[in-house]
Amino acid sequence: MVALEDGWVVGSYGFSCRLPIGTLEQQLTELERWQVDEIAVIDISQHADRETLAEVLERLCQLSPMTPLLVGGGVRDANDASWVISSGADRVLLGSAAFRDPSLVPEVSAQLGDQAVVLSVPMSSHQVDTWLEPKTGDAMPISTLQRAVGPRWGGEILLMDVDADGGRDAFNFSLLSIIEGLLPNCQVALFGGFRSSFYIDKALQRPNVSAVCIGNACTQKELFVPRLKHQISSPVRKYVGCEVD
Amino acid sequence: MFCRRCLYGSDHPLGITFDSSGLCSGCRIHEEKDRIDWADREALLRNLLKEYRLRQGGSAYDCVVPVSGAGDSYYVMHLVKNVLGLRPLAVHYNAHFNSRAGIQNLANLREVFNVDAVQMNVNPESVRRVTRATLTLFGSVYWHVIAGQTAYPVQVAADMGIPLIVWGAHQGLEQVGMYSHLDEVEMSRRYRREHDLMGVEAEDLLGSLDVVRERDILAFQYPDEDLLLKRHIRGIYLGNYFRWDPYSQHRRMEAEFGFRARRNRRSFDRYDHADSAIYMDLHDWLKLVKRGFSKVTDQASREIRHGRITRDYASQLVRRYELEGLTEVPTLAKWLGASERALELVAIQHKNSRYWPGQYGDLGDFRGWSSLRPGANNNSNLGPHPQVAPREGFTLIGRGYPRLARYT
Repeated sequence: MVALEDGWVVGSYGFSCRLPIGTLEQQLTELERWQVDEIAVIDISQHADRETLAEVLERLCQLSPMTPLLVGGGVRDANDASWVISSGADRVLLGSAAFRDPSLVPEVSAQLGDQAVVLSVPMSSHQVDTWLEPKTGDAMPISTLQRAVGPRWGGEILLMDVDADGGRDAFNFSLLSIIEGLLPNCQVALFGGFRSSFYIDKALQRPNVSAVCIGNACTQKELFVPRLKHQISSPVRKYVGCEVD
Repeated sequence: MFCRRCLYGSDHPLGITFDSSGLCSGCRIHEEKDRIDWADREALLRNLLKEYRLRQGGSAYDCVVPVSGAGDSYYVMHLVKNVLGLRPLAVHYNAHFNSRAGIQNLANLREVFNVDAVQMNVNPESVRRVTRATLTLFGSVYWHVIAGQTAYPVQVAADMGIPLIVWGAHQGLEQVGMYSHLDEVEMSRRYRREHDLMGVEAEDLLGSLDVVRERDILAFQYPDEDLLLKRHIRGIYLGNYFRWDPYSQHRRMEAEFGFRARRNRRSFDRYDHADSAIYMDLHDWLKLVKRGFSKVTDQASREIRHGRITRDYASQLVRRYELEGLTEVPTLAKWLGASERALELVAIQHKNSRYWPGQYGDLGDFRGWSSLRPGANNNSNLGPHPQVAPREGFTLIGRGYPRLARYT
């Protein structure tokens, strides 16, 4: 995951502290060299809106990465979501807007298809019965998620462990259990606290988990993803290059 | 926007963030230095190093340590050899713009720490071609030094099968708080390209201005992914495991190991980049021209964070030094085969108009960070320039003349 704030790639810590990393262009270049499976570019600026989204999309268009793109941040309605896809993204991430408007996910899914929609669901271990608004931290009962995605939704949830974001803690799998119980048919991608193959393997063994998303660590270690994929025993697309001993 | 504690502004070229109280990310991360249990961190490092000591069938060396004739090299070597007990191979890229102190420091380092060392001397013609290109394209005389210093140690590590490279502090962490110390950030191609090399890889210079040829850039190329993966190369930063305080460290190295400082006209700090005759001269001036602040702002901000000077005094230091004149332009112009006026025009070509409003081939009056900060004035109460730094010139390839062991 590449998090943007004011146009700059940042490292995120607990969804509150942000540290400066570099430019979107350089980070994407590196992730492509690493042959990652998908790149999530998310503008986490407090003021992310249509204008900032347009800047992000324009920069992505100029880069034209070969890797599939998930784009989010500043998507307010179904029109914005369609615009993201028509601008070249493969999938669109719905966050704050979907939190406020429970009809948004079904509406966007109807327009673009479930496969193109990802709903971000930040959760905290300190209040497991709620999901959080990504920017303000406002909480809503977790049961409202069912209404937000509808009964037969086939999109993907990006379950984000706020407390593990950028820290030393590993992902709290009890959060996943709650989502699995609530939405047993949903595919779930996990984010927060994945720095080692042990926890990624643990995640990928769960039947509903479709992916693991990695953020800060991709900017902190050389060839982090290729090395990690080599260590993962679950079936993942390996880095195509030399044979690593 | 400027930090309310240090002297950094929101358009720092490395990137910077501010919290709701107006403190920059660099100051926030610096606070970790006083919260972290450094004994725990050292223990963590010692545990990490276990797999690199005396590897079966491995190299005769536990690690590569990049060195120059500057102060950090001494402290890193001291930690690696004397504190951690590793067997390092010292690796040196010859920067060509060597000061007398730098040559002496490097020779002395090899003796006082008793280490094996290898050195890359790129031929002067290639260095000149690369420098002409980088100066013209993006106003840098120092690109080749940074590129060589960050590529050659990795090349040596990969070629000799020494998987661990030990660096000093991470510049992005120390200056703008790019990472937490607890992230244990490591060397990466992306950081090197983006921040060390200003987004320009050696390959990007090929064909530029028809000056740079393939054989000119070999020493500046970072090894490819396959080789790094195959040889399990990683580069760690000691600043994540030891409380990093450059000024104190340099003074200690001066006292204990014979490190030599070097006066310069553009800063109060005699230690940073003492190995180079150009860094605190034309290179620093070009930074001021392009970025609106110079090295003395970095050093003064660092000293504020360490609690040794106040913000007001730091501001005065910056105003005292940042517009000081240069001494080495004639030498560099002669070496490049250019006139001094040509160098001046290149600087003007790359000036940031926000800080230098002059027009028609003129820089104009400086309107940089030091004059944009709230409450800034252009006066300094520090009196006359305390450092005298006559023109020294530089030595392309120095043999060294150590003081400690001189045989006649």
